[in-house]
Amino acid sequence: MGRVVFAGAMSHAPAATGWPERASEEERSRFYTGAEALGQELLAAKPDVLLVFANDHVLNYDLDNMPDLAIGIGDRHAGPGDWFQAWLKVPPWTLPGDPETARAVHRGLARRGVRMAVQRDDFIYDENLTVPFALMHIADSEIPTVPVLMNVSVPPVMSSERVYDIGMKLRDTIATELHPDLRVALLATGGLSHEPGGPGYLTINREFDEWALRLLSTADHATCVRELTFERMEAAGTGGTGEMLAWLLVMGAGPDRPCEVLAYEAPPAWRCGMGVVRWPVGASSDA
Amino acid sequence: MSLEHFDALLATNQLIMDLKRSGELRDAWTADQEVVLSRYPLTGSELAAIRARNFKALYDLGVHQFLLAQFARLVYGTADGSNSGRAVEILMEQYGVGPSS
Repeated sequence: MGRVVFAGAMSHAPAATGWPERASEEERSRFYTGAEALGQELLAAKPDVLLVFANDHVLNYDLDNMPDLAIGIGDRHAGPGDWFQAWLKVPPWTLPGDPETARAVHRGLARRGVRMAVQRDDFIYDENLTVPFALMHIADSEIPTVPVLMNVSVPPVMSSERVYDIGMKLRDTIATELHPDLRVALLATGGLSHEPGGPGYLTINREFDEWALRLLSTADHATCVRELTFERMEAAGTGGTGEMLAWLLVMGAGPDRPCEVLAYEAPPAWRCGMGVVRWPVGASSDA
Repeated sequence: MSLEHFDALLATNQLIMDLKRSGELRDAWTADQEVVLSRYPLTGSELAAIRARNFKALYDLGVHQFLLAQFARLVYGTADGSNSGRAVEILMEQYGVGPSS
């Protein structure tokens, strides 16, 4: 049976690599240090595959044909897309895919009532994977990677309960249907509070961010899911904060333990609450 | 604001999504935006708002907020790569939001 050897989440706002100098040196340093630590932990876990959950920024699917979940089953993933390269200011990255694991995940979740669209050609990636890969220093890692893109900004959007349940179903799939002894790393990207393109574009809801991180780092998962609703995320920043649904999915695939916050910064010019967290998935896990 | 506001079938949404995905279309847009606009079933209101760079009007017509921000960036570019560039400033002015900190 496969097992989860790493579970973490971090923000992916384009400012972190595109205009990092607009944050103070201290803010930038602390955030970068947190991201690097997350990357080091992932590498130290020696995963056989990385499943990364991030939202599609209305890029790969049209507004009238938007899947809740889409899994990339190709043998190679590369980014960022052309239009994003100059904006994000990081070198292009390429990671191998893992078609066998991707298909097994798709099949396993389908058997458990979760529909996922299948993406055979590579996705177009923007900051959603590019920023975390760069700041975690895993872009050159050659870790076989399976991307799963989620819809968080085109209604109807899944509830917090639903995505957490999908996470639990993913845990079961990993444990029972993936290659024996497969070491699986789980990474969520996105959040925290931000409102891209809306009137609150220039605003970070620090109060919400600190509340959410306090909740995730102290409460049991049932409480987190009950309190950190998609509606509360939206109220903290429409169209952006809901990216934290990816965090809840990854959380659901691990043991019922609080996360550890590795970093939180809110540089005003980055227009997004920037967090890095990890969940313990050690030997005492119930996965 | 609300995610419920946008119109999934609005042609402007498709235009912006296509511009993001295609370097060739972006080049065509730069060369002559009217040629590109003629390829889409845009209403008179959409055309007027696009030509006037009236992002608030586009929002009211049903452009998704995310695509609105990206259209602003596409049209005005980002001189220094920062989202506090001209694109965002104009967007915020049209929302009636004050200058950034």
